[in-house]
Amino acid sequence: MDDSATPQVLPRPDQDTKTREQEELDPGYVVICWDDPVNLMDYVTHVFQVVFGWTKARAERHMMQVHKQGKSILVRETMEKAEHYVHQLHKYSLHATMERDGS
Amino acid sequence: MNFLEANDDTLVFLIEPRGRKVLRQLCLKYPALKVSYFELCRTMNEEELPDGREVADQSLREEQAEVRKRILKLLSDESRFEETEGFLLMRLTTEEVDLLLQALNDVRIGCWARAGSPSEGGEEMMRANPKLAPLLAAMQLCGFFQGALLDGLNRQKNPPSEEDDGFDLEDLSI
Repeated sequence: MDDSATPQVLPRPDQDTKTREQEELDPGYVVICWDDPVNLMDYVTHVFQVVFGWTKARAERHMMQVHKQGKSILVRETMEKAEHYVHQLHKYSLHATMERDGS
Repeated sequence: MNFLEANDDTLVFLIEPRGRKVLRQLCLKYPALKVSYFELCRTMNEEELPDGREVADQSLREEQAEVRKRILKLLSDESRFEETEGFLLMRLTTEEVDLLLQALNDVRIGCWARAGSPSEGGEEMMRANPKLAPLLAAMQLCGFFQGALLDGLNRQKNPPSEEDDGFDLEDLSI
């Protein structure tokens, strides 16, 4: 038996990394679409259908919420998926952001 | 430009030769918005934001370059345009209609942003300003083409039934 073997000390997980990973898997992020005076209502409905695969009725409901209430929460997702959706909506020039749920 | 009919995945639009040129001119302005125009979030601070923003922005730039290449190619492709009594029949797939919508909307929003992002009712202000009037004209033209493309998609998904097809004067409650 080799007494000089290096002690088996498991590396302590980096607290920040662990917290970050948990956050990334937590569906605690919302994707919000904000109203603006320039996007066409039918276009917004079309984009919601393409990006989220929604029916026209559901897409229209969210579009009207954006139009009348100034914003609509579109989905609750993990950080990664929320970011993906926001980029998709930006590709279609819609004003969308991701926020922590409840913020 | 007007939607004419849909066959399987192909949508047919009736467009004037002059309209085709205008559509191409508008698409040449794409992308008009900077990738950094839109914020990723409003309430989270820098440390909370996802990593790799630059990679995502670069990916969007590359995607836009590809969209631009495709739409300019299709608008120059004579096989998609068939002459008929002074007009052209323009054939596009559903995916190509979506790409055109993306490009035209980007140009519309880009013109609006260049005009200082006026609030509702800002049209009069833009019309009265010689520097902003061309931006308003471009926005209206984009909106006109977007309207026709969206009409095509809607009618492709919801074709009128035989009973609904056509215009009936008796429907008018005058």
